[in-house]
Amino acid sequence: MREEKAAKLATRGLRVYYGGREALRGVSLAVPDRSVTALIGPSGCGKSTFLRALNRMHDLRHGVRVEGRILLDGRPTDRLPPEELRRRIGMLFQRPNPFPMSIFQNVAFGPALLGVQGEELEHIVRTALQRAALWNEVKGRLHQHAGGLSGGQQQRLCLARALAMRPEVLLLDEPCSALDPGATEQIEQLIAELRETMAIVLVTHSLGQARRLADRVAFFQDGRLVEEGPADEILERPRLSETRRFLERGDWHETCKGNRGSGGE
Amino acid sequence: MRPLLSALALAVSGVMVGLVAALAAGAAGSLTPGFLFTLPAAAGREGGILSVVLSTLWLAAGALALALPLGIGTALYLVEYAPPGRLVGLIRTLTETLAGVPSILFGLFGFSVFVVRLGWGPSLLAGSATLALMLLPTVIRTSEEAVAAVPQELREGAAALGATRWDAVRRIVLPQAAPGILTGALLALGRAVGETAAVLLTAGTDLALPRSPLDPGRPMAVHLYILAGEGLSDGRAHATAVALVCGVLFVNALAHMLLGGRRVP
Repeated sequence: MREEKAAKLATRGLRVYYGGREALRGVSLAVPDRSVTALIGPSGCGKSTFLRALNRMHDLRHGVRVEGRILLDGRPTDRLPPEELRRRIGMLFQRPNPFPMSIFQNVAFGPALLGVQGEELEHIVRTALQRAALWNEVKGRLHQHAGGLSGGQQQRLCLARALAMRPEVLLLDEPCSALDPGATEQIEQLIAELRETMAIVLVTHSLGQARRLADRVAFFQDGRLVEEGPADEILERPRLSETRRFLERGDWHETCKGNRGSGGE
Repeated sequence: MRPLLSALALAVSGVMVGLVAALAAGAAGSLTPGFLFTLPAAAGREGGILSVVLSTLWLAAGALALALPLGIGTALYLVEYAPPGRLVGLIRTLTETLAGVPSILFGLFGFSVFVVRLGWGPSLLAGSATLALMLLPTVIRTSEEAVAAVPQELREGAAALGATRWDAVRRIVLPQAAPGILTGALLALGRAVGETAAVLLTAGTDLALPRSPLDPGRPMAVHLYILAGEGLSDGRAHATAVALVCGVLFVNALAHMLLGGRRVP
């Protein structure tokens, strides 16, 4: 069990509306640095909606309105350009989404936007692939198309792509939901390693994954944050009956079915 | 019922073959290997169609050069930037209406605006501009479909790395949509090459080799119209027709190859 640290990322009364529907109803949550905060809860409860608000992904869609404040290192983010915010807060999606280009170009995509090139770029790509435990598998074929990689490799490539920006916070939206058990284990191990260097927010549908990785757990239901605290307290001795009922239902995948790929719930 | 219907289908195919055969038969004697590469003489009674072919190619190229940037730009705005609503609906309705307008109306518009009002005279430029207006709906529609077919996950992946919308469009969406856009361009090119009415009033009927965009030039379809209509040379009218059919067939075949079995929109 870790000591609670000063919040790296915090929200105050965060609300998200899809058209007229309020999908997130005022969530205030603090995410400490160098730790994994897992978001759990039933389907459509607002976990992904909350996650995507943190790096302002909702800006990409028309008809989505976000209210409330998001603080990064204690400073409000609403005056930052969204591009700068997203450089500091990386994201990994449910399904691997490598760009239709080479392995190298995928990882180089972000730094190249900032004008990095030449040896420096090669160094960044190599370091990022190493941190994502993919370097040894791809070092001989960096210029081959990323579509030739397996699903697990693609997800690690997407992780490398995010790490190449040296983010301070990493948002993981069910990063293993499309992967087989072996690939899932690899990603989980990487998350455990990355925890030492950054703040990680993980949406998960797997109680086992939350147990294995989370330092803190936040339970969402009906667009509200019901309960939040150290992982063992929330998972083993929840204070509230809603949390207890959800945990006792056991089969998470059953309760959360229908959320796959919707991207907005 | 089936024998009757298959006989019907066969008859239709027979008509198509018969049409080309009749054109070829009419062209016999005039369609020599040098026909395409000789300048016409005696108002088209003698010689070949070199200047006519070149005028056609210039007109088509000019039309594409004008229609592609406008059309692709409009498509990008509609798919990537415009908020859904009345403006998008209005633009779509207008383009669809434009697609249904008979081409002689474009010709009349081009005549009164480009030829007379802007003082370009009957010229390749006026003809190209008129053709471009006529091709816009095709270019917009096919580009829109190609751009919309690029998976949203790729745009999100780029945005999550701090890319602006334009970064994503430039580096991911456009390269992915390029084959579809090219197909649309080729379909448009096929139409431009065979078009008569839109250029009859705008491009002029001069048989000399055009030397600048402001020179008039006689497109192939207009050439055969004049040859046949004024009884100058029946054989050369047919020979021009055969060359035109071959050109259009070639361009369409190229488009179909790129479409890879999908239906022409």
